[in-house]
Amino acid sequence: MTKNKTVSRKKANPPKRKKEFVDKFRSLQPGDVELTEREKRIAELTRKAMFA
Amino acid sequence: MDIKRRIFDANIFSAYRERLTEIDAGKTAFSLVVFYELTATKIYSSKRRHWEMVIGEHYENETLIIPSFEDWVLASRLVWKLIQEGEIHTNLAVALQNDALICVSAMSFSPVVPPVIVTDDTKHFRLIADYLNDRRKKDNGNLVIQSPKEYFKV
Repeated sequence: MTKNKTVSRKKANPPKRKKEFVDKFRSLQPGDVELTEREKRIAELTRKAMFA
Repeated sequence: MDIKRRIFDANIFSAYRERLTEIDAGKTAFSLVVFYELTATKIYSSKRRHWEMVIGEHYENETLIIPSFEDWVLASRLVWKLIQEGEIHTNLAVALQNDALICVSAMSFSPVVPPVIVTDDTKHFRLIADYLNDRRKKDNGNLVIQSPKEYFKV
């Protein structure tokens, strides 16, 4: 008699590697305020500081 | 200052970093006290370098909040008063010193439209904000404290 092998949900659907989504910002929503060039630089540097 | 900016407390940049958008990070005001909390501990040198660049850009953008002489004196008086009135225990006073300075300097940075402070420690920040809101001038706005749950609408 063969034993039914069950595959755990965790193995069947492995979570995306954390790195894939933590090192970029959440996508912008429609109607979001525009950023100035300096504010874009601030955002980019903040992202680097948070994920460095 | 025409828009209501946010100030993120230090822990937001670690615990909620996946939730922050480019807009959140770009349209913020940054407290020098938060920089101090973020970098005066054991962190990688690359992280430190980036935070130093962040405050440099905020300084140029006029969105860096630097506590003034009056801010330091008022923050000190505020924490002392909260202890005297029994609102906080002496043991907590040290932890609250930075929080008080963040709130006081946020109020003086933009008195008419004060920035909203986003923090995990809403209990103590609201205690400080209540004190400041009670003594604010008539035409000035209230200092509002938001939890990450309220801000990110989890």
